[in-house]
Amino acid sequence: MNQYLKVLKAATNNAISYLLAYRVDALMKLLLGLGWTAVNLITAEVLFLHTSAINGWSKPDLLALFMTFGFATEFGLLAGGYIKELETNIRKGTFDGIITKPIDSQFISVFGRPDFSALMYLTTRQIPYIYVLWSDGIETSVSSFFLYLFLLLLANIIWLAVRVLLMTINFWHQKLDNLAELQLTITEFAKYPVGIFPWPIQLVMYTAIPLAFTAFVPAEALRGNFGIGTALFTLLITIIFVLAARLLWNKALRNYTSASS
Amino acid sequence: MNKYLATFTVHIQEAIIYRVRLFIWLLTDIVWIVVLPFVWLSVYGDASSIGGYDKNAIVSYFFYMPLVNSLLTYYTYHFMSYQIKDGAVVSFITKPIQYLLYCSIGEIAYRLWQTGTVVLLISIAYVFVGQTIIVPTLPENLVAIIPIFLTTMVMNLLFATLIGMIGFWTIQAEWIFHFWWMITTFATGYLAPLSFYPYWTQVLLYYSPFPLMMHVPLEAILGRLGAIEIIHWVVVGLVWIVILLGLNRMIWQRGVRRVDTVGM
Repeated sequence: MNQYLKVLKAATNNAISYLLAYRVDALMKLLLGLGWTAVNLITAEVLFLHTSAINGWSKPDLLALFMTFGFATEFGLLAGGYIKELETNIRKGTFDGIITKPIDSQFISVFGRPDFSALMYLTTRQIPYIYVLWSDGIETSVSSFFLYLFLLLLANIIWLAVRVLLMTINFWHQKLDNLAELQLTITEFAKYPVGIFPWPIQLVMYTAIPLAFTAFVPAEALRGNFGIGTALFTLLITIIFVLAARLLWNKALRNYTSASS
Repeated sequence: MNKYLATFTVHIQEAIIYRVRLFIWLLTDIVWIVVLPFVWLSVYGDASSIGGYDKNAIVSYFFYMPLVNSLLTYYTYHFMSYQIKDGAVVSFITKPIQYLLYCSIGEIAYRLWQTGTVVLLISIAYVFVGQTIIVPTLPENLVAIIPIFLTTMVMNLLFATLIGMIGFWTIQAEWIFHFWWMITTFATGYLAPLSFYPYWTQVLLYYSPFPLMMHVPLEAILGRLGAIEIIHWVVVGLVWIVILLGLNRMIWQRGVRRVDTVGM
């Protein structure tokens, strides 16, 4: 355990050094966060020019959903520096450098190289939402807020588990360097209330591709519509996906043959 | 001429080799578009029409969007900025080949291959949602589709190569690409037909090149453009093509002077 904490500490220090070394990069991420939030705010403005509610969700509700979507997806980008480059590492043989270390290879792939510039991006991306929601006075209770935080944590874990599951495919298929982009695109489904989709898509979003838990479920909890039953079900889904990511990774490792000398 | 034909063939062959990868890029390009008709249908509720679009028209608008996206949206700048950063561009400077044309032809080859797959996918989708889709009346709609598509194709390629040359000045061109995506997401009609936007936005965009990139080609497919509008957008496109040709030439000449290389 101590060994893992040491690795985390070293990875954090490296990430801070990297952030300070590439300051312009970090500054651009700050601007980028603001820019994408502006696009989302404009989207909401255009949508609510023509209606007062989308599937029962008012404008502040939808903004809360957008904000939750940001938290659930961007924290995942904070971790997973190596997992994003897994395809290249496997193809070029540099994955050998990870697998031969005396530490769990999945742990190092997910947490070994955090990207703190994602945190900068997240900050500017979320502050406008928080300001708008604060001004509009979104209604929630203390218990709903804490349930929201819990579900948000699970949403992050699920999102990361799905990323690991997807990226693990690279052990079997060459040159699939775009799986991370695919996940980001598919996650767009999670940005809107699940009720707008036909039931077969909803079913998929609650089971095989657990997009509903990424933003919709936590945001519904914030609105006070979900209780402890939902939290337990989300916890169950989280455990299933984390286990699946673990099992598939172990199976993939057994298939891995080095490409380097 | 043969060398450009060879470029076209090589890029088609490359696309065929990595079929799964191409299919994933295809999904990445179109999946998020699938979300939007559901969002808008929910916004319609009991309303029969918004911004001159009834429910069938809005579903059709997004139904054809993957087709227009795959045929007319270009990401040449990724490839170019990578080659400039990597130094690979040097080998083109010393060869009797026009680099910008080489990149554009490569992109068109890739996009044509991808469009074939999109046609197959939307044909399958048509089986399920065909009753709500507005089918273009041919050959009448071709009067709008052909000039608008050709103008947009050239204009978008010139925009893509122009953005790609930013790589001569910075190795972190990704941020500029993101800002470009932000503008185009909003201004080209990806989110909704531009008639859904506030009136002042529509006026502002009327003389800009952005509607030509997505909104106008979709309106051409749906047969919603009159003769005056077709002429207006072709003229807007041609003016932008002339401006972009000049800018491409100027930026290329300045950019190439910045290339330093060591060894072979």
